[in-house]
Amino acid sequence: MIISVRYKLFIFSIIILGINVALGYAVYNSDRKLLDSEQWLQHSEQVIIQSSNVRALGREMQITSRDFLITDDSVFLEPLNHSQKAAFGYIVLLRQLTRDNPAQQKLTDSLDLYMHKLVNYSAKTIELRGKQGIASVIAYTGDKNRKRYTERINQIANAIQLQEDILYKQRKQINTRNEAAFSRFSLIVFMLMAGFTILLVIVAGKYLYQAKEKRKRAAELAVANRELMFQNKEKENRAAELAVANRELLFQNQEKGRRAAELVVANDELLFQNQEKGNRAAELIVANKELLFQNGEKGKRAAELIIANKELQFQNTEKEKRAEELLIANNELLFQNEEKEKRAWELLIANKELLFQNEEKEKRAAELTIANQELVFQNNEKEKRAAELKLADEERLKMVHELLQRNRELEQFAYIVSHNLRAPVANIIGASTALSEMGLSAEEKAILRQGISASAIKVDDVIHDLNHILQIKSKINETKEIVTFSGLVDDIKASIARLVDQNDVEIKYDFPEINEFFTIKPYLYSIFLNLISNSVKYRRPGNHCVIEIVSHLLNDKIELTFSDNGLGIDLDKKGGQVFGLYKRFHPHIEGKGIGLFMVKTQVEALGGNISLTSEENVGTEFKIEFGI
Amino acid sequence: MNTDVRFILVDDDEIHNILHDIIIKSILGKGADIETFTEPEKGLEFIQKNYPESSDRTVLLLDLDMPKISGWEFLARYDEFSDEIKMQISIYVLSISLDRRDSNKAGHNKNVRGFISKPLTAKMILSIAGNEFEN
Repeated sequence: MIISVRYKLFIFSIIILGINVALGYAVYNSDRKLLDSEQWLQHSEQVIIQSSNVRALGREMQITSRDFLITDDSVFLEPLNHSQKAAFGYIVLLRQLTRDNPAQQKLTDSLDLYMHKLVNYSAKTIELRGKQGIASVIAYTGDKNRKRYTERINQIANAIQLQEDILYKQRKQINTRNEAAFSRFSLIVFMLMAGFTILLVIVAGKYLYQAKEKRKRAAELAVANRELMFQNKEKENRAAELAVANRELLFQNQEKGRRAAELVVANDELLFQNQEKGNRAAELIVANKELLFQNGEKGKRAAELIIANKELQFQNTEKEKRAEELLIANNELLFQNEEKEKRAWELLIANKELLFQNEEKEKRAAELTIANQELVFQNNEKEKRAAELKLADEERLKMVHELLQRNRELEQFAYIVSHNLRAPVANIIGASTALSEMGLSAEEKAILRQGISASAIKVDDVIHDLNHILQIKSKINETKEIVTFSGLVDDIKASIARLVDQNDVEIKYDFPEINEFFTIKPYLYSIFLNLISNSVKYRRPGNHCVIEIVSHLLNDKIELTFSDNGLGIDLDKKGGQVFGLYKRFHPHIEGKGIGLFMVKTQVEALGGNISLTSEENVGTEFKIEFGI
Repeated sequence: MNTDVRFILVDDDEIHNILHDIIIKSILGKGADIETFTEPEKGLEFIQKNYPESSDRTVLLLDLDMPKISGWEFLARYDEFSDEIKMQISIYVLSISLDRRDSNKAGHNKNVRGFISKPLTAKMILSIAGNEFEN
């Protein structure tokens, strides 16, 4: 059990207080005893003094009364009376002082008795002296009673004194004992008090020190608490940050998972595309064979035409035979005319019949009028339908036209691709034939092998490009978003920063009228990137290259202009080929001839069109229009 | 075989030129006189510089699909050269093209002796050589 220091102090104080009260009471008691014994001692002293007084007065009374008797002088009467009074006063006092001592009371009573006897005797003698003279007195006093009374008084007084003396001695002893006890008690009390006081001072000091310590500790605890509170808050913050970081990590893990899944899908896609490429190559070989086969077919058709000519000659002879047959048919007609006259008669009869029928027809005509009105209405309806059909027809024509255009483009595309595929393929065939059939030096063989692998890479490049282009043509369903032109240019600037810095290139843009377009961002990015990097690539050497991109808003169209001060193109000669696949105009500058083809394809995929103006050694300006 | 025939090869593809060079040399011997150009202008400049002084019989194999100056443009500029030069040089178009229009167009050009489809083979060189000696 833990008792607080304050409580301990309280209990300790209570105990000390109790002890002090007990000691105080003991001292008080001892003091009273001492006082009592002192009083008793005084009483004894008084008794001794009073009794000796009484004894002295008794003798004096004897003497004064004798003097009067002798002299009969009244002078002596007064001290006698005075002594008598005093003696009785002392006896009263004695009685009072010894009221607690029956033995002494008895003695006092007898003292009083003898004193009265003496007084009475004195009074008798005085009376006798006055009336009968001295002789009677002497006679009277012959019994010597006075002397006996006086001696008796002396004896009693002495007894009282003796007795009291013994008492005094006893009381003195008691008093001395009490005094000693009192001083002992006083010493003990003083020592105890001093001890308690010191203890109290020590305890109080200790308590005060502890209180001080506690206050110090409390202050330290307050500081520590504040520190703890701050640390707790910090911990909470850290915990919150950790929670956020954990969530972030979780999200990134999920993202990684998704990316991994996408990569797996992309890998599958690539595998599939590779297989497709193989298939296409096989198909191309098949197509080539087909072409050869068709050539053979044409030769067959020529042979068939000769047969057809022979057929025509045969038909001419047939016609001559038919002419002869016609002559016979004329004769037949003459016979038939005769027959017709006979029929005329029959017609007359028939006319009558017709009249009757005409009447009937008029009736029918009325009915027909109504039917006609119905028809007119139906005609109007039909015209409306026809107009609608015409519109649909026009639409269809337009579509057919577009399809034809697309078809021509595809043909052109197929031609270009097959051409670009054939070149390296021919190279591979030629080189491999040379390798296997001719006796070549090791050096020549090495060169040809290099050529074969370079050509194989070219084939792969072409197939790669082809795939890329076909993707654009097929993936028009990608999600659209709002793209800002300035953001796009800034992104591209950042991505080609090195190229720009190294080549003294300045890219300016201004899109005050319209800076946003809802479209497929990757396409627009590719268009911007191709045009900008084209301008950088075909800049004029030694000339500060400036590229300017501006947008305008025209009714329902966005017009984007990309202009540069680069090499430019001779459009009179090359105009038709600028956007062609694998068309190149600056052989000294590295390139594949696919950039502008891609730009045109992507612009058209986004529903726009692109055109350009250019002058050699002045610059080029591309203009793109998108419908909103 | 007469090794006095000189071959001029004009093809923007370096590998084609190397292959053709090897094939021709395998027929005419290592010492065959062959000039190769990947840039058509350089070929034209060479002809302008060295003909008609050179007395060699010359076969020029011309690619069609080239950047900057195509085979057709080359032919147009060649047409401006003197007849003496043209007498010495026989041009054969050597193309990858399968398009009839290309071979027809080549056939109609008076400066073109023949249209050969790539890849070039030793047999083709032999027939060209034979063709040249017939004339």
